[in-house]
Amino acid sequence: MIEANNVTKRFGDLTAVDDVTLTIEEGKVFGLIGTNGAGKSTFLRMLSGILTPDTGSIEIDSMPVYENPKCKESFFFISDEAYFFLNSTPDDMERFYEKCYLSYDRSRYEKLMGNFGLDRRRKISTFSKGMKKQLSIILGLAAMTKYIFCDETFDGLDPVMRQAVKSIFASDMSEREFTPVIASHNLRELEDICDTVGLLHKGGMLMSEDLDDVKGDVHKIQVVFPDEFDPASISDRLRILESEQRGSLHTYIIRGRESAIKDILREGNPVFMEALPLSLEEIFITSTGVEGYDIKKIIY
Amino acid sequence: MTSKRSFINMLTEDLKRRIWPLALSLTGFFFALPVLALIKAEDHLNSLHLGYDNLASLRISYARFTLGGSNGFVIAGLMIMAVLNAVHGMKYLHSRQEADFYGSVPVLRTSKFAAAYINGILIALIPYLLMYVFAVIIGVTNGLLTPEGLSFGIRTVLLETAGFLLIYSFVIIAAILTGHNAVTLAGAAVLLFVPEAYVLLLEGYATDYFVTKYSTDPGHTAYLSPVTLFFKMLAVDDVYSSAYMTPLSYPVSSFVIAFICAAVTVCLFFVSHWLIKQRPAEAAGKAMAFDKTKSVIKIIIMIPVAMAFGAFFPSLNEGGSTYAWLIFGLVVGLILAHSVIEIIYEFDFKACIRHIPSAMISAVITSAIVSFFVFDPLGYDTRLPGKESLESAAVYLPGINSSYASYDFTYAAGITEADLHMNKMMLTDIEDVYTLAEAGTEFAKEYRWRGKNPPELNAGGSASRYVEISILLRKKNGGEFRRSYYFDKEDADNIKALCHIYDTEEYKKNTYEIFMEEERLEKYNIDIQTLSFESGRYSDSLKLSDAEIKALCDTMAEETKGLSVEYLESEAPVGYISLDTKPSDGATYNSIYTVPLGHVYPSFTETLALLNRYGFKAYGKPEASEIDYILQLMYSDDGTDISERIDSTSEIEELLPELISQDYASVNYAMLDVDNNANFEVHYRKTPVQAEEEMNAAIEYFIKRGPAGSGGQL
Repeated sequence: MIEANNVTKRFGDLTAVDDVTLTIEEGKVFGLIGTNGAGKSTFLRMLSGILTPDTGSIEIDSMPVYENPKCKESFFFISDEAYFFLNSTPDDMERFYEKCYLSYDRSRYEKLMGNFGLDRRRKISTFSKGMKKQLSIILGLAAMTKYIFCDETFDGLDPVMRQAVKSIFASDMSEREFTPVIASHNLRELEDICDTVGLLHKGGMLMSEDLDDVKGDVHKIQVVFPDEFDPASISDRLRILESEQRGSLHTYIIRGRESAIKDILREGNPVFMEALPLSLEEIFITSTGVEGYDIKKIIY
Repeated sequence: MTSKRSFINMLTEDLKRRIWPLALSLTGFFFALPVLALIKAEDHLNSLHLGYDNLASLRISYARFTLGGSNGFVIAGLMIMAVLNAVHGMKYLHSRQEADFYGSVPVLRTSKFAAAYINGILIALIPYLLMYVFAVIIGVTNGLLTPEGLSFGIRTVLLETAGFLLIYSFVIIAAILTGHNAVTLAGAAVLLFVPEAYVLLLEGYATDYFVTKYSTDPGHTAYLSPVTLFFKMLAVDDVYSSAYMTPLSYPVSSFVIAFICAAVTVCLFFVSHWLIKQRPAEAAGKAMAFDKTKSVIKIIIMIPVAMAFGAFFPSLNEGGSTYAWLIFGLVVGLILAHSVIEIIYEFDFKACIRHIPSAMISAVITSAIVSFFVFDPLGYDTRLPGKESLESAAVYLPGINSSYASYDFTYAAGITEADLHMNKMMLTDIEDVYTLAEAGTEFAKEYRWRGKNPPELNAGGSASRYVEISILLRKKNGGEFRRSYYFDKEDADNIKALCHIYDTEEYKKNTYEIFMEEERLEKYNIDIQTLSFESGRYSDSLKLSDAEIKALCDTMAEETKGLSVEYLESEAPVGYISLDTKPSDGATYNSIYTVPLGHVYPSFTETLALLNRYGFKAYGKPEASEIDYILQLMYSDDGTDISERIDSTSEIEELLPELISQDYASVNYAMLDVDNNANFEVHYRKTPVQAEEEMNAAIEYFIKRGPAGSGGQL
């Protein structure tokens, strides 16, 4: 388990991460969402022991991260701008990581390189951006660490590769202790892979919740009431996050249990009522919007 | 830590990333050692074959110039590799990508640093040692390397390694303190040279603003910079003098310095190690790694830069408004230094208007330092120790026997001409010296505010009324007081005191070469080849017996004791004697070394007689009967030359006592005033024999102005 307690990091006058407290459970994919400059990279760099927090603490499996090789054995960090040695080939990088990580699995590296179709002896400097991302992921997976920290790693991967990586992550999670932490500014990237999502904005953590809980607690319902019914009569009993009316069609995003919500709506004898699937974007837009944040500005 | 992550593995991995510095090191030392060794060996064997030099001296030359500290290519190579390896090895600290990469892998950052640090040393020293071995083999196989030469070479390696490590360690510190390669180089320059710059500037200001500043040799500042210390350790400055005396050795001080270098290197490694732990990874790409050091380093740099500007502008304006240009220079220096440093710190031109407080602190400190020299609050110029506290004294007047020190082969860095004369001079009757010091102090009070180098003090050049005099007062408690005063030649008390001092045997013993050479000749076991006598009319070298040389030296010494200030005011030497020598233990060079015995004056009748007896043609003052005619050459104010021929014997007889040979007119410039604008060309009558032997039939003379203070005779 990864625990960050009241972590703050400042660069001069800029507060990059502001008093963030966060717990990342094992065995789940954690998505760290935020705009550029929200503090995602800084937070991941602290998580990786590259930076030290000005205040607060970060522990991975109850071990402090900074200058602790034993703790660093447990994770692999893929930077947004991954570093490769000058004039190196994938095999050169592999040999270096093999000496760094005790759990490094060379056969896995060879297998994944074959599966992804990357040339092990070609100069990395001739690789495309996407190929470099793939190589970073392969090296990270071959390190066989318990955690993998990916900073904007999925950006630049084509949909097929993205799906392939997601599949490998899912497979690893089922086969061994494996917890990916994925930072991205794109909600759609994480929607189908993350179990838990944390939303960073201007260095602060707006929310961090399990997606199932979020999805189970927020519902989008379209309903048509008879003309004589005034929806305002029941609205005070519903935790409506957002409502929209087009003619007689009301669309509500409501927090609460779905059955209880429907029971209340039925009091208006609706002529039509249907629960619609909610996208991750809509959940964040509605759930954070009520807390005073203009999430559209944050995410788009 | 398992063996998989062993330190050796880390060294190997780091080395893989540093192939090109390794290749550069191998290539550079290949040319600097084995290739140079082959060239030298071929050259030496040719010299031997052609009989230009003997094997002993060639072996010394090979050891010194190929394997020793006189191989400048090796010194340059080690210095370049020290800087290059430090910057290249620490560049991972300056790139965010690399900092993230190494910061996230399960390796202690101190281990990564240690691997990079050690590789930086190995990359330079292994190729250096390897190529050194090749150069040794080349020397041995060509018969140019003796065990003594090899021992000298091994000592050279120790010294050069110590010098390399010291420079390397300083640049490493600079690399850790900064976050950008270019700033690292600037930071290294600061660490390597700022202490020396401070001392040189302080001495420069003292010289400029203290009227009585006694100039010490700047050689001691070499100890303040690892770069100049490197040269100092290898005695590069002294190579020609020390080579002559002790062909294959370094002074003991070199090894003391090397030991100190090694100790400092160890300390700097631990400082670096500690700094690496403190260094934030986010410093990569920034100018300075530690925000707290920014202001301190800025102030440390701003002060000498401002002082340098403050010294520069007045130096362009000799005799002008010194203080106005000083203030201008200080202000410009402070503003420029502040702006440049802030722009570098922030990589932003607008930054030059930020962080004004640190600039103000620099300005205050700079002003305080400069004020110390300008206002002299401690009375450097006006203070004199109490007469009763003094034990002995020494005086050096550069205008008497002025050519002395330049001929002295023991002259070495750290000893000025004044030191050379005064260090052994023990005048126990200090009254006269004290009189000169008091007069100099009064003069300094008067001239303190006249600006740097007031023109009235330098008017007339060598004929100036004022000449510089150095004084050393030794206190009973062991302390020393050294000052350089202006000596007023028109002050009767000054002249009287100087006459008393000059007449002492102690003064003459430490002023004239003839009293000192015997000791040196014995000390350095020098083999005298010939004795040379030269004058304007004649020059020759003859092989004399030891007894003849001793007799000549004794006679000359005795006659030198008879010289007086009054005599020097009216006469110049007529010749010069020296010994041509070679070291008896094998010459390093083909050249013969000249050891001076000193000038011969017209009053040295017995010396001149001895010289003539030994076969030289040693003339005293010219006689009218020897002269055919004299041409007087004058330069008018409008630039035209006027010449007048003097044939009349009576006119020649009248003129001759006033003529001073131009060759020796400046030997006692403090005492003897000559008119440089009045030139006389004396044409001698030639006998058939003289026509063959004499080099010059016409000699150029100046004319005396008369004794100091007389206002001239003509």
